[in-house]
Amino acid sequence: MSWRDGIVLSLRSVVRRPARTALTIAAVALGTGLLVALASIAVIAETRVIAQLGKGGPATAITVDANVVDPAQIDSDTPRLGTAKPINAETLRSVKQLPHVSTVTTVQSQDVYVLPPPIGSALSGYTGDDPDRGLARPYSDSAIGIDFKQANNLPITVLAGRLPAEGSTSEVAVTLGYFDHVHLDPNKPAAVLGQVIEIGSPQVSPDGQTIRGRWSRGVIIGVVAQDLGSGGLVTSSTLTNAQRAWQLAGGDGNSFGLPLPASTYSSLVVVADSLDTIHTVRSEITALGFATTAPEHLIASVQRYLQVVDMVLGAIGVIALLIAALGITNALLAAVRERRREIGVLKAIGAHDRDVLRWFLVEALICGVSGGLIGTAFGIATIAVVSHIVNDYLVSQGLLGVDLGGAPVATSLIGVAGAAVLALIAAAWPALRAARLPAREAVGAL
Amino acid sequence: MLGSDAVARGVAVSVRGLQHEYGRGRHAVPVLRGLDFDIEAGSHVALQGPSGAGKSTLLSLLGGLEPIREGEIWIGETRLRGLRRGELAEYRSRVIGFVFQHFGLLDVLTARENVMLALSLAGIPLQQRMRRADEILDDVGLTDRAGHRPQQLSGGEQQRVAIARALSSRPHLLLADEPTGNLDEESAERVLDVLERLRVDNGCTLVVVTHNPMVAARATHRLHLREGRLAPELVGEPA
Repeated sequence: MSWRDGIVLSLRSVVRRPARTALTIAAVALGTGLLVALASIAVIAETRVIAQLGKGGPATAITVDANVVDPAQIDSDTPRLGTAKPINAETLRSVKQLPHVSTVTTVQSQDVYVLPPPIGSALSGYTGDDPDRGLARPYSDSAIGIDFKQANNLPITVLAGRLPAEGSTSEVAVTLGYFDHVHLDPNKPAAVLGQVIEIGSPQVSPDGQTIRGRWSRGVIIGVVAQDLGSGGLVTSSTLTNAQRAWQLAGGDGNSFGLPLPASTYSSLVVVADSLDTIHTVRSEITALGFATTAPEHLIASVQRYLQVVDMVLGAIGVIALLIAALGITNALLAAVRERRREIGVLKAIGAHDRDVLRWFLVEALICGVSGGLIGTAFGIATIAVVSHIVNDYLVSQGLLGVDLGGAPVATSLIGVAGAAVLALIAAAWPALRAARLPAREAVGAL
Repeated sequence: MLGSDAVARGVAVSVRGLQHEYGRGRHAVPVLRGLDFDIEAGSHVALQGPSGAGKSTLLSLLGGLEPIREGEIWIGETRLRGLRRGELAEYRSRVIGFVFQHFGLLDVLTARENVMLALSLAGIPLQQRMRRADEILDDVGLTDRAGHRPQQLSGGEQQRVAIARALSSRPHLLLADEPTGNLDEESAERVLDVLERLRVDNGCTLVVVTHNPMVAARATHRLHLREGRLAPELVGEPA
């Protein structure tokens, strides 16, 4: 029998029993969909959450501190810091030239005073720390200044609102610590959006006797979680540069606990070009004399856990596929029972065993590929939903969100191909049984 | 060699010492108990006998549908005993044509596709298959029904499609078991007319199993089976 005739015969046979075919395809689709979803989630967890973040990598970035390294702490993810060592333009240039460095982003930290509303604007229901007058108490804090165009390379997550515009001196973001100062519920981060706060940069008089402030107003445009440094405000580097220049224009404020900042940058955030090179890059930075922090051991632990997760998810997927395979086998066995006479007739007019085998295998292949395609689409949709839920959950917990993206192309292709192979394996026994039926079965039709 | 000698004598089918039983050991049921006969090439033989006499079994053995355990069958120069499964399939596709009482058409295929399938099994190329299928369907008067599926055809039309399929690969031996068993008298007559005409046109040998005297009356020879044996008084008797 020609392949063309075999395929036509199989296609027609598939549509002859639409309900059974639909159920068989549905079983394959469910199994494939589950496997694709689980495999994709496992792969995504492996490659995106760890490796991709390692590349673009807020969670796996190396933070270079403006301190010397403590030799006893080199192998620690978060070593104890040694004495101060300024990070300047020369340091920045040196780090950028290191091999395996993907991006280097500067971070500035500037001492500020913060005056919450209602000084800046009215806040409904706010009583503040001074209930008699309804005033909030100013507090000292640090403003973290960054280049918002590089935000994707920094460990910073928007919990509500958005990040300030790059270069803006009137938009600020606050961390959840701000809520303690204004006595609001941090579980409702959007409540502070739109508030106007006043930010004061201190300047000590040249004689070191008085402090005066350079005040500016900022609209809280976003609430963020960040791991850039200790500081409740996140602003553009334009603003912190101005604040720093103002402070440097004054005297040293050691007596007030406000010494002039010695380091141009409080830290650098370095992203290695891959997860495997984090240790190398970190060692090179250490060789430059700077202390670094990086979650190397955490990543290794997470990878081990992910392998366990892979195994568990894989086992669940395989069980789903086995159930799908049983569905195919059962459907084809029923088909063989039904078509004994047809098989006999086919053999009586000259069909070889291989022709009958091909008839059933192609039929199974059609179900397998159809189910595989539908299942893969289902799996991809599942990933999209899961990704959305996971991201929402992480953000709601004040953690960094991750871009899970879609199913990896390879996983999707393997899903379809796997379903096809599964269908062939599942069909092997019924198809062989059909092929071995004696031609005498045709006599039942005589 | 029996096959060569028989062919030289104009014999299409030679059966010698043919025995057959179903089951094994104590449960074995003998069906054929030693048959010896020849069928002339181009003849039309009616195989008759009561139910259980072994007619269908004999037809199955002649058609290579089941293995021969005892005795010999030669179809032309082909000795059926000892042929492997694949060789039997080749034999069925190139030498034998079957016509079944219940037509045996694949209901997922159209009339033309049913005929083309048989040609495909015989290894005929696609273009030739299409042309020959149309020709043979025209021969049986079903050109306008070629695109219909079996369930859209009457019983008589289905049987004519089955005849077209059986004769499409130009077999030497056409085996038919109660070809009119499911047809009304008018349809039966028409089917028998077509069968006889095409047999003559193709020059093939026809063996028809029938209970119907009308069908048997058209045969050139009759074989009468009774309890697995040929009834001696009727062997080879011209119709």
